[in-house]
Amino acid sequence: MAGVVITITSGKGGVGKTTTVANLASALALAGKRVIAVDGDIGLRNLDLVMGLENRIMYDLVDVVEQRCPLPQALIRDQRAPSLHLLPAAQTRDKADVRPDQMQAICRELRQMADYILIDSPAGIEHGFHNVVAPADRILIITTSDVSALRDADKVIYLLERDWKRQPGLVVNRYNSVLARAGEMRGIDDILDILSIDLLGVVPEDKDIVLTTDRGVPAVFNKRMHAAQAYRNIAQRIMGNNVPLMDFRKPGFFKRLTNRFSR
Amino acid sequence: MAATDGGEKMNRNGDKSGGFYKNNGPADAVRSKIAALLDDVTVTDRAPVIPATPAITDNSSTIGNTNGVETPRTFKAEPLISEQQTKAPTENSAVPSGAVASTPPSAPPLPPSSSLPGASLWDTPVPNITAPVKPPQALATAPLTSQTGVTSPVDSARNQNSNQVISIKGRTDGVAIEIGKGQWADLLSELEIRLTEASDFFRGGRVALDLGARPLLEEELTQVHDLLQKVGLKLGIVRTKSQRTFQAALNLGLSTRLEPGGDAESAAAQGAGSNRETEQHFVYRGNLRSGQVLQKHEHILVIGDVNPGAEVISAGDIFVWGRLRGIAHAGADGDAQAVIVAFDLDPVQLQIMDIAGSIPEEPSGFTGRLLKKRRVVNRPQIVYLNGKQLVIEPWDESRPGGIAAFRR
Repeated sequence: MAGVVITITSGKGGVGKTTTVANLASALALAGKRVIAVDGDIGLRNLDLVMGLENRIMYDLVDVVEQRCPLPQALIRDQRAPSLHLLPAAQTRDKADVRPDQMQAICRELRQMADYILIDSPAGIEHGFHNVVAPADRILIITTSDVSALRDADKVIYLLERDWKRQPGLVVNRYNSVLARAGEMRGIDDILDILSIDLLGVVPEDKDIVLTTDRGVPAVFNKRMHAAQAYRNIAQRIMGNNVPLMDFRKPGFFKRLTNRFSR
Repeated sequence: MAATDGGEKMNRNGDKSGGFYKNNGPADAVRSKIAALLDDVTVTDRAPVIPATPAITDNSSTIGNTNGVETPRTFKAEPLISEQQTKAPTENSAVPSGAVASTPPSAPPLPPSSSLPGASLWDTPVPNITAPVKPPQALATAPLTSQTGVTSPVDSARNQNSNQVISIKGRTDGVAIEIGKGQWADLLSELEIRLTEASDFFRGGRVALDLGARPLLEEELTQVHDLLQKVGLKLGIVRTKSQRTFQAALNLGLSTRLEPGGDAESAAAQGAGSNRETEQHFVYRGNLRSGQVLQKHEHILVIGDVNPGAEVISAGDIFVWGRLRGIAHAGADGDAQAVIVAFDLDPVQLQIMDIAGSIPEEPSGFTGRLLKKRRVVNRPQIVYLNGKQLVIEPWDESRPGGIAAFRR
């Protein structure tokens, strides 16, 4: 079975593309799938940091494109999840060094090696965006609930529909359910009203996420984290399983107590 | 020469009466736009301005309750040119300078039984069927507006030709039959065909017969009555806007109701404006997303949402069958009559002609509160230009007779 190439993009920067890729890739791998995470942000590579694999990089995407090394050799295996691999981006090169057709060629090869290929996308809608969209079978749009992220996501959806004839799925990141319930911030309904695409998942805001990215351990490896469950759910939905939307209220003291006993 | 001249005049005049499309106010524009877009009979039900029957018959009704001897002549579609000639000058003077000849909407969808009665009638350029029975006195006494409303056999037919001529609807308490314009004999035979087709379905029901403004004689009403009886239906009530039909029904001992909205009223309700029905529409299906610009000379209908960051620009009107949250610019070429209509009007900016504005927002630091508030006022709204000011109103208040009419 050939793998599925999923590109995670957003338009706006800083909404959590890289974090999402790291977590979804880990979650899929923990679910037993063969996963390759590809960093498409050439020149500003981050995914390796978030996944904590920086010190093991020997070759990168541009090396593969320019045929300085065979593709399997550039893949870095993640120790925590044996079926998880990373194809890092080059830090010293530029996005213009790779063409969309070269990305397509690489992904054709990767499809034979994994079930899911997740591509992290650079911010913006220029050349780097074309590079990562061209090989994609499915596209995930990441957005937060603030105006600018929504506006950019909307534009990206428009571009995807116009130029690439794609219908992306949506992941709402850093969703603050407390503010949404109070009516201070857009709720999921309001977001879907504007973007009107299929919702694949909602990741609640969790201040601990910052710590996980900083330490290079994706949240999914931490069983305690609230947001980790959201990522696992999205991974399940990507695999085609029907999972209900999670309850966004953080479990309180008693809930946690009963959870501990029921375990 | 004079004959054709008179015919032309009448044609133009007829167009005037078909001027239902010529909007008086913005609400009329909306209604006419929607009516033009949808081929639904019910749309015309609500538009009070349309004479529901051809003016063949209208004439006799406006002129007064003529006795039954003269009216049959009008039904036979005789080209009574001499009478037209006599009428022409008066008609001519009644034509407002603003009236322009209309062109028929393209490709009228025919009713299912495609044998549309009166179809040939529409093709004739001159409404030679119109024959006022006693023109001189009638014209002298009747107000100008009612005159203009009278003669429109061809054009009113054209404007309305997207409708089914006969509409049969099942109701809980029986059957409602509406009869539109066309020649009576044809209509009758079509009604017979359609009723016999579905006679099993209708059997035993009571019929509410809506005849619009068509004046009928006792004999003609008896024909319908017999026809209905033949297929097992009982004529319950006759609704009409014509005095003549009302009288005939009374004479036959039928239950009947005279409804307002006859010719004089409909004519008074219309005003001179730009001839909108000749212009084109552009229909966009789907959502307009951030960064997308839709710019057309035609009126624009968006079936979908206009998201924030998207722009719609039209020389005519803008209709959004969805949410309008981007930028809308109607009447971009300087049409002050242009309107912007949306189900959910929450735009970043609005502009008609060169007058721009935006929905006034309450001074509040919390967008969320606004979001909540907006959800309360979620009625379709209309934006139009009143002098130098944009006016935004819920559509149902903006109608003639709406609440806003009292405030003005």
